[in-house]
Amino acid sequence: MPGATVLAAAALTLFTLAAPPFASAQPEAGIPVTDPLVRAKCGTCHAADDRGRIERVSWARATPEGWQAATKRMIVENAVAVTPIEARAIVGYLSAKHGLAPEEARPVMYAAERRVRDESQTLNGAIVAACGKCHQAARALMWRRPAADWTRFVERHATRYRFTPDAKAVAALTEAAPLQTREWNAWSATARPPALAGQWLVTAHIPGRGNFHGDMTVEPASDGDAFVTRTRLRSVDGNTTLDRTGRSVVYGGTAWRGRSSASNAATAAPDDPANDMQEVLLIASDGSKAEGRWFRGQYQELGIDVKMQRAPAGPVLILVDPPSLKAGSNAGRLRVIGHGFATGVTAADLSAGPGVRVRRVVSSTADEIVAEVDVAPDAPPGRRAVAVRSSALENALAIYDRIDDVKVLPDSSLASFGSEGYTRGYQQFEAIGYHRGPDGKRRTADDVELGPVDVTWSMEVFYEVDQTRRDRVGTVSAAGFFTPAAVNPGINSDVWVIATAKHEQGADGRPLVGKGYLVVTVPTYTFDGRVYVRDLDRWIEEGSSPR
Amino acid sequence: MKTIALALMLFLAATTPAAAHHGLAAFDQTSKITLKGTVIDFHFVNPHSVVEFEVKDANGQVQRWQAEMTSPANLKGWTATSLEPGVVVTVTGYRAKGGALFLWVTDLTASNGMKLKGK
Repeated sequence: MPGATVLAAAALTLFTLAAPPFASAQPEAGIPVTDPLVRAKCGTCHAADDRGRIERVSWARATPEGWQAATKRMIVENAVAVTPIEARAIVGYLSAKHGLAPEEARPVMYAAERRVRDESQTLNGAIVAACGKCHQAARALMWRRPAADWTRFVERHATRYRFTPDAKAVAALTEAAPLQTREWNAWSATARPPALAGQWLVTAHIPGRGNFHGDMTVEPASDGDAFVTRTRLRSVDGNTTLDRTGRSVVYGGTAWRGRSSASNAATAAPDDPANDMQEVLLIASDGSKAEGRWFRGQYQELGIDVKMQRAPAGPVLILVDPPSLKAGSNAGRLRVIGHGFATGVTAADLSAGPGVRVRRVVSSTADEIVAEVDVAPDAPPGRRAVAVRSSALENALAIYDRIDDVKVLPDSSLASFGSEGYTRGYQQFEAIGYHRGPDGKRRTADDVELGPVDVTWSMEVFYEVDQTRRDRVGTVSAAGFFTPAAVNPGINSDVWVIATAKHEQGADGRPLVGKGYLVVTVPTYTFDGRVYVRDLDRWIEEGSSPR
Repeated sequence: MKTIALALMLFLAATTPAAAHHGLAAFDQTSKITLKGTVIDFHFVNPHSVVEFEVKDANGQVQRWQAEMTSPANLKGWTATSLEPGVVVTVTGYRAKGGALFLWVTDLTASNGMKLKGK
């Protein structure tokens, strides 16, 4: 340790010893720290009391990403000496014992899953206004603190990043993310090490590539408390198979964090699902299901939506494809995917609700039934269950008379040109169809999602009269994948990424069109002496990324 | 250097996300135009909401215009259905410098009662 750092640490220790007992200023009961390593490393600077509580640490809870960032900051800025193995152990202990209950983690999982989200429509306005200027506001809500610690945190954050603290934001954070909650008290009292070993059924959606299904085998790793995984996914059309192996850690019985690799070598294409991926999932309280996202480390905008559930002893449906059928259509193929289907399934064993007649079963295995179905012209629109004998999957299939709206997802996004030291930022778009729903109005809360629509993709650059020059911004492929131009033009452009339905028209007879607002930016810029880079859908100061 | 300066100007909002991501440099702020037309689509999205509408020109030809406005978070009381197709709008604003059929909204009045007073 450099001499100056030793002196600073000594001064801090003396200051701490001279200060009044920290616990007396805390109206809330802190969480005792019992792990010897955490007590030893954190206790170097943070004072401990006779009840096993450690200053700051005992009055904070966070997701694994939060504790990882905090540990990294202590190592880099406060010269805490820990080995990589010790750092992982510290993050592991704090994530498990000072983590979030599943109910607390679920609303902010999109941040850990690296999803783009318009928080202005879902979170407190003061929090979004204060925190969302620099990063997703959910990053703050990945933490839980008492009022005094939120105040202190915001004050220090303001000094560090040069902004004026907002009392409304502090009050909102204190209310939205307190240390003590009913959810945490209930969860922490019953949480136990995860018993994840065994077979899991997996469904996955890869934007631009469609639905996949398969299974995952989870086994305890021979070393430590990790799990090793073997996953096989098949596309619903049967044309693509993905085999992956991985290693994961589950913090506190609920926070799955892992990495996986494909058995076959990935191509150079950034959207090749055979690339290595990070895995972030939230396991349900009862341990029966998990949901989350696998995404690329380098291109976190590219990923796979994943749902898992334990393979039951009896039959179960996990996916129906396609997810919607048009009223009046005949001889359509409906694929029912699941587990444990009996042999000899007939048309009479399948049901898809009123107005849908199963003509015949084309093929059936224990995991998949393909049926031919007719949909009556007057079949009631909306979602309904699909059943095989006594096993049903609720809301598995939507019936529609026409597609009323096409939504391009993400509807707002950021891509970036590349340059020396900075990779290009890509974007995968998807066109999702919607039915107007019971209220008869499109773009309202009761709209019925119909799944991906077959579309033609195109681009329109804002403010450009001559659209033939759009290649200087980038190109969008037939599968909706946007690739920025290879040459950084040094200026950003706003672009419509346009999906035009191939086989459907709007109610007014016009082409059925959806648009996504894409900003294509320079890879980095310097402002007020600080370097900024793209991070998913916003600019952040370089080096401040949560990963 | 010119492009770098322009890039910096576009990023004066510094660390803000895509919302409020650019200024009005792309628009001719020396004069305003007013158009009346019929809405064909409304995009209530970040970083800027955009209304698409059709206007008949002096020769009776229909032109598709796009009018850009502030972000959804700043459009208090507006929703994705505030400007449905068929609604008649009168839009005043700054036109794009290059001559594209695009303008930045300073005032908007719609036949369904929606109004926007911008800057």
